[in-house]
Amino acid sequence: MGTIARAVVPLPRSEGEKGRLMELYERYGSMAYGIILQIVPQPEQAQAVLVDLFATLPVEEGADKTERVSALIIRLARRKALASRPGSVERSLTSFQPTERNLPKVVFNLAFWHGCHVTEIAERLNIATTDVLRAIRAYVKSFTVA
Amino acid sequence: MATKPYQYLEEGFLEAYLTGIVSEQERAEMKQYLSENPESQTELNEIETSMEQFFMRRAVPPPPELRDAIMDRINQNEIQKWRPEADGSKARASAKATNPESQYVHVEVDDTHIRVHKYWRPAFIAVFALSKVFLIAGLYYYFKAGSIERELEQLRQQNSVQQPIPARPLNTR
Repeated sequence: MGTIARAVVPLPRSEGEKGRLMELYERYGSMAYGIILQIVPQPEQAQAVLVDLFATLPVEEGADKTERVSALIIRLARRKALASRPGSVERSLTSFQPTERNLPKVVFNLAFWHGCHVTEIAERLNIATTDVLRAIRAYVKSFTVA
Repeated sequence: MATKPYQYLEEGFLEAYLTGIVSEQERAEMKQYLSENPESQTELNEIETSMEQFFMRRAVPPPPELRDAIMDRINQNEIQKWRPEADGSKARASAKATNPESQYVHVEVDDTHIRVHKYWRPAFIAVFALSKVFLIAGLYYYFKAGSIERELEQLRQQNSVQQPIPARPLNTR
């Protein structure tokens, strides 16, 4: 008698969903890998996160349609990459010394790439949470002109 | 973050929401706001477009073999096995029986298989091919040795027929 194992597995996917997943991978795989590599620099670990991301991406019928799929992939890639980092990763903010000019970039880096919460950034940089959000807005606005 | 609705647009909540920087609670608040304010969808779409362009510029092509790894993982996820119920009967683990909204299903697996590293596959193929080569070589040399032995025996016989043993001189004693 073999070993009894308890496992949690996602629901089976239809052939249509598999095709859709592969289409999304062809289109956004490089983008997701770029995000993951920025957060998890080890290629093997980053590749494991990428595989997990696309194998579990919710593309079922009736999935949340309020968000564009590229935004969903960006959000999930970031979240999974941050979760895969070792727990001992020190999020030292002491090396980030923002000036008025580079504040939006510093705040965005801390929030997006380093996984710091808005209130945490506000406390560490000694600024208001609204200023943190404004800085993020300013930096995201600069995407279009970059 | 207790926020008045107009602040969502003016103070960067949309950007924080889209980049996933907000907490789950704030995310739920934002979704509620978006469902009640369809006019904000235009701004949302613009931000999504610029975000996609921004991250696309930083794209890094993954290794080609990852495509197969993803397919393998998807197919692997589909393995669902029978599990014994409390009354002893067996029934297929129903995916949504316990929680219809969950995308996961709890299964118990009576596992008789093992997982090995992917490098074992070429190693097994190489060992199998080598065993065939040695088998063929062994048979070849076995039959060759047999035929050589027969040939040698024939030559000995021919030799004995062609060269009769010279007669010994009679004993003169």
